[in-house]
Amino acid sequence: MKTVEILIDESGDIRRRRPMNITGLAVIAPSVEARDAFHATYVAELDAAGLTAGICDHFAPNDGRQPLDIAEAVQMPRQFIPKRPTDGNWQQFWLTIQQVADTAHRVAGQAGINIVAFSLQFPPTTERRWGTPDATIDQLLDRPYSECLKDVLELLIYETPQISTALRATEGCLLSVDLPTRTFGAPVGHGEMPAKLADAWGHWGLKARAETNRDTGQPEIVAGTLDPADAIEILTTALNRRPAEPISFQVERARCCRLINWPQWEQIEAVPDPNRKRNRRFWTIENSPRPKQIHFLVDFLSNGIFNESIRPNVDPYRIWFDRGFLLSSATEQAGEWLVAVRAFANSDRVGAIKAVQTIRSAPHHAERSKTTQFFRRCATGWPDELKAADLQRLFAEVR
Amino acid sequence: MPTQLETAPAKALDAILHGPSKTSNPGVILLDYRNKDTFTALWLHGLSSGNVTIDGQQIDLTDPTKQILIIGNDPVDGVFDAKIPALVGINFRSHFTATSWLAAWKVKFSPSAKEKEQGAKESLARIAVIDPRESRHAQGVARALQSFFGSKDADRRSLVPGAAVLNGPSLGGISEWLNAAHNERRTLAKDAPHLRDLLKSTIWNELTSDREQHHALSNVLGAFLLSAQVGNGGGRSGVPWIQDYLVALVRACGIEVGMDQVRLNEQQGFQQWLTPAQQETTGAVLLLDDMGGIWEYFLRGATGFVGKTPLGLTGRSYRESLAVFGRENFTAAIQALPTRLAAHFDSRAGHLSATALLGAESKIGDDFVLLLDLRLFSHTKGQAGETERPFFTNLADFGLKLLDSRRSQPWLDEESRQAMRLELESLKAPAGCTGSSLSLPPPETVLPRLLSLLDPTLPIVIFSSTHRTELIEPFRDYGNIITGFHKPVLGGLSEGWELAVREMHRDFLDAVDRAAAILRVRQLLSPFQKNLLLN
Repeated sequence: MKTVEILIDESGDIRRRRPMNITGLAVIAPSVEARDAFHATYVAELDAAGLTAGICDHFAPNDGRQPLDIAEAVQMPRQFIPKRPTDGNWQQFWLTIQQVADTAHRVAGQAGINIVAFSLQFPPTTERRWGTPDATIDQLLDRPYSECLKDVLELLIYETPQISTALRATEGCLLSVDLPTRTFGAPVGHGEMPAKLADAWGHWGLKARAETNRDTGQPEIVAGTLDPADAIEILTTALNRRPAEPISFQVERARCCRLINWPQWEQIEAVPDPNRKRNRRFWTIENSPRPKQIHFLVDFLSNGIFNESIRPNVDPYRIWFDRGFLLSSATEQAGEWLVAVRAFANSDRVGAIKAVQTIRSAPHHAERSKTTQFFRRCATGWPDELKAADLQRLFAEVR
Repeated sequence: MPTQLETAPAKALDAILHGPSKTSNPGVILLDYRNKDTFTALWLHGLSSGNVTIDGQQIDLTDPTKQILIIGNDPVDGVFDAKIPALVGINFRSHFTATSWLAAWKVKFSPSAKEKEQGAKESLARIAVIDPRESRHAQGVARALQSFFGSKDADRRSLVPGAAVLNGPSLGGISEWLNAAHNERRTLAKDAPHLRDLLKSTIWNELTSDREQHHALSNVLGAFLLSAQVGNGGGRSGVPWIQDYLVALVRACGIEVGMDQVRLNEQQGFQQWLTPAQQETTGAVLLLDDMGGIWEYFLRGATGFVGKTPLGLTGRSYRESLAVFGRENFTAAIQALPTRLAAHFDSRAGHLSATALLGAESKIGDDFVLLLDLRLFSHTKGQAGETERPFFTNLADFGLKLLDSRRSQPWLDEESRQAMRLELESLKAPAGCTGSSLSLPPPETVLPRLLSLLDPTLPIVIFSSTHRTELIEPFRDYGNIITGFHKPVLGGLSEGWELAVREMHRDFLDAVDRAAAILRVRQLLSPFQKNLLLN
């Protein structure tokens, strides 16, 4: 049975009036065994080269043991990749990341595995896609981010040929989705914190806490807005966006993982009080299943693409992105396109084509952009699926 | 009073009637019909004004004191020599004999029945056509008209007073006719048939009937008359065109067509039917019509696809935006069409291009409006011609291949697919061996439907004069076939020419707008067309 593992990370934040990238890798394997062998070999080779980046299921297995025991057992490697360069040498840092990517590419090739990269940039927007009466809580709920994840998953599962073909393999396919957990803070006015905390828990079930923003010194209400099990709802919603499309694959796992880089772990280890150290380690991994090591590469890739430190036309990124997509909703109407292809898949063929007409007639539309080219491929063959009634309506309604 | 007498009989008669000094019988005028200037003057001026100027001499054809002898009956050679292939084979000459002219003149200048009731009396010159042949040699409309001119009522009075056709006449016969002027009564019995209407209907029916005979004048008359409506209506110098004579004849019959355009827009002169915006949305036109050479004039004027100015950013000129299928040799081109369609099908290309249809490179590309005539073959009703049968056989082969393919055919459901299969198989069967008792749609409707199936977003405007239900009904389910425009059917011009032009203008624009709407969808879908369709 084939397997498709989707690993996602984000960079930027649409609610802070910045674009946001949802970036990731998909690992497509011919079998469960091949996939597992790939992960094992990959982490072993990185370990040997001093290129691991953080705690993953290799160093702290998801084997049912108590997190306290596992935390005690984790051995930090002597050499690892920091989250940021300690000497400020970003150029060298990205060259190191390139080594990590090269390793993944090489090991994948040896195991008969395809790696697919994808990135979708969302625009900085003030639009509320989720509304609550309380603006602070509204921010805290972080729904726009969840919607972005659903968009990306929908594109991967239904519109990315490498992935959608594997998922519909005759021998069957297992789908796994690893998303990053997310913690978000929203500013709170003086004296309002108790009420906000009570509201977050009482109305939304959010275990929020009070913190002080390191940059502004202002009080913030902070909560995990994407907890480990929230991936289930996100994936379910993404799948349900195409009710007309049969789902022949099985979902092997869907989870949100916290990516703990080695320097964070190192900080925890540096706590002098052994009791407190143990508690912090425990707390750190207790709230999340341990990710795959390649999820850390996704983290780097996401930052690199967002900050334009990684050039997607350099191998192996070029090869990976050619199999997936590198799109922008911020500048290239990917969001509108997605709505159109979704409508078509859901039998609203006329609506889809009219939406495409709107996209193509927009003043900033670029026919040769990567986004347009990607979605044009998605829509290839649409004319052959049109029924007589569709054509008649289009003839009458397209102006 | 001789006027440009060329032929020997005319000269002889002139000598006898007018004498050596040319002063005898001053009231008798001889006109030589075989003289080109005389012919032109009679048709283009005499019928409109009642006066002609021949060789500097003005002749009032309505002067009751005059008697005019028109010598000769057949038109001058060379006047109707057609350079357009589509006109070859059309017998213009039979409509322009001196007899026809005389009938048209009588229709034009005789009082109508109503005018007579109000006391109007005929006041015209007496005119006789001297036809050197015996009456039995006359054909077509000339023969029918001669019969009328020779008819008399119960009192031996001529049914068409003041007019005669003298066939194979003797000098005595001519003298007798001339001398009869003193005794001729211009009034008829009240119960006599009204010959003016009879003559008019005889001329008009001959012009507009026989549409099943493909090379009938009726099939090109509309094109000629409409061309004048969209072309430059100003005066022209030089040799008159065929349509100038036709217009004169039609106007004499009371149909107020003319070279003056019906004003459809504010500008003077050129009355292009499409606006620049419509030109842009239409883009290009391909005409598939065996009479394409004639209709091209009208279409160029109507669409404004004329001249070498570039049409936007299309890379082609306005002129290049209208192509005519089989312009050089329509018969060969239409024979090759099923093969071309099959080649396009086999190429697995998506949209049907103008190049694929024309069989030659065209700048028009994929986005165009196809104007498609239904009758593409010349044959007598019910008989397949030499070129028609192989065409339909090959077309049926292609159609069956298309039906059997996996190509999307949105206009067909399973039932209609089976019906079409039967239809195509019957086309392949030898004549009379269709093996089906079902009533099948006419074969003329197969090509448009197959083109529509092959390319469901190609706008196809049926460019035909037919209103017959059985020819239009088969297109009902085919969303890209537009049936709202009809070539003019002149036989039914009861409401007048201007109204007819306005109706055609409205229908033409409506068809073009609908075609443009289909083209918009075609262009919208174009990027999503599969490069390689699965056949």
